[in-house]
Order: sequence, then C-alpha cells, then structure tokens
Amino acid sequence: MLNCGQVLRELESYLDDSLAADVRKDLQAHLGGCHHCEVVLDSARHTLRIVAGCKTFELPESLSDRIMASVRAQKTS
Amino acid sequence: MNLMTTTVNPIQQGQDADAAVVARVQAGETEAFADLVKRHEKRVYRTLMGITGVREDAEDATQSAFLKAYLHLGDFHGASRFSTWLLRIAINEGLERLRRRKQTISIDDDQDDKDEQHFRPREFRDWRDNPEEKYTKTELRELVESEVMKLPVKYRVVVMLRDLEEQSTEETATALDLEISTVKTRLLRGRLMLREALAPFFLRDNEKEHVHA
Repeated sequence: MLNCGQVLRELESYLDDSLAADVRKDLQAHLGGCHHCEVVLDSARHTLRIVAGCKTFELPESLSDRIMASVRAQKTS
Repeated sequence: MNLMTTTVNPIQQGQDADAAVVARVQAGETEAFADLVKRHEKRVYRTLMGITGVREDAEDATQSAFLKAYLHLGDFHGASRFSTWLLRIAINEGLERLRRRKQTISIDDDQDDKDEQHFRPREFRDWRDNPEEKYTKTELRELVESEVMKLPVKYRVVVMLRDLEEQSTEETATALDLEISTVKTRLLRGRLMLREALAPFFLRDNEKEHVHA
C-alpha cells in the first residue's frame, strides 16, 4: 500500500485523472484509512476548480489597442 | 540564449494554428498582427502578471513583448509554435523587468527543489462540499488573485501557466526553459501552497466559525 508521501507524489496524476489503474487502486486503499490524505486530495481538486473557473487577471480593455498603436508607430517611424 | 532564433520542439509544417497569419505579417500585412495579439494577449499578460506581480509592469511588458515579436518576426522560421516563441520573448521581458527592480531572480533557481519534494501539507480540516458557492464571483476572483500573487515567483509562474492558462506540463517546461521534472515539483508545491492559503476560506462551518474573505 502507498504511504502518505507516495500519495502526495501522485497528486498531479490524480488531479489529471491520469493515474494508472493499479496505482489508483493502491491510492484508494490508502484513502480508505487516511483522512488527512483524503482531505488534501479533495481540497486540492476544489482548489484547481476554483482557480480555473474564476477568470482571474482579466486583461485591461485598452491593451490590444495600445499594442497595435505601438506596432503601427514602429512601422511608420 | 538567443530568444529570437531559439529552436525548441521542432514541429511539422501545418501544426501551428498561427502559421498562416504569421506568414501574412511577414509578407508586410501589419494589420494582420492584430489577430495574433487577440489570440495571445491574455496568456502573455497573465504570464507577465505571474512574473512581475504588478499590474502596470505586466501591461507594459506585454506591450513590449508583442512589439519585440513584431520587430523580430522575420527571424521566426517555425522551428517552434509561434505561441511558444512569443511566450519565451514575454518571459524574458518579465525577467528583465525584475532585474531592473533589482529583485532576486529565482525562476531559474533550482537549488532547493530537492528540499521541496519533501514539502508536507499542514492543513487537514474538511472543506465544504461546494466551497465556491459561499462567495460571489467577484469575491472569489479577488481572493484567488490575492493568494496566487502571494506565492513565490517560481511557483506562481508555473501555477499560472498550468492551472490558469491550462498549458501542458511539457509546454510549461518549454516556455520557462526548465526540466519537466522541475515543473512537476514546483507545480505540486505551488498547488499545495495555494490549497493551504485558500483552506481557511472554504472550511465547513463546524471546522471554523468565523472566516473573513
């Protein structure tokens, strides 16, 4: 069975749903008896969903126009 | 490294969705460059927010990166995707701005990555079943932006490229000129740090009575 450190190293594959079947089985066996790892994996999945879904760092509206203005200015200079 | 002629991940002709537009700009159709700006400005801006951590610097650096890309487009021969080439220019523009601010450049620093493999979570309280329902979209966005920006730059950039821009691990490694194993290590650490930082805001009511967003 996996230990807590090994579970943590499989976190990325777990979050990407790319765990190999045998590793997934071992991981689920570990989670059945380890509430700490269950919380970490569950909340890490929540974290990714929240981060991906909240449209952070939106572009300033005028940025495209400023970029193209600088490009045009360069062309004519 | 020569940014403008770097040859990473050679791709077969026809795989780059930007190739036709790039060719038009290279042939002298300057206005076609606006299409490339529209397609890529968000990713470039977010990446530069990740590196500089300052909105004004990210805006200026985004403008500079696109201008450099336009001026050097004649040196782009399709050895990599245009988006990869552009992102490398943007990343170096961001790092140059950090240098000008005399900040420690830690994006290439991997001396403590081995120690980071032993990073352990400390927050084990249960989250709500639907944590995002507790806040408005605006509150959520402000909270995530605030906590992402508190991450050290080398984790922040990786998290932003992978989890906000949804680049693959391989694309992130190429863009940052890092080993894939380094990207994976930093992504794990960055995600876990972000989870720890967000946890107090999303706990079940019986885990914590008062949390202020």
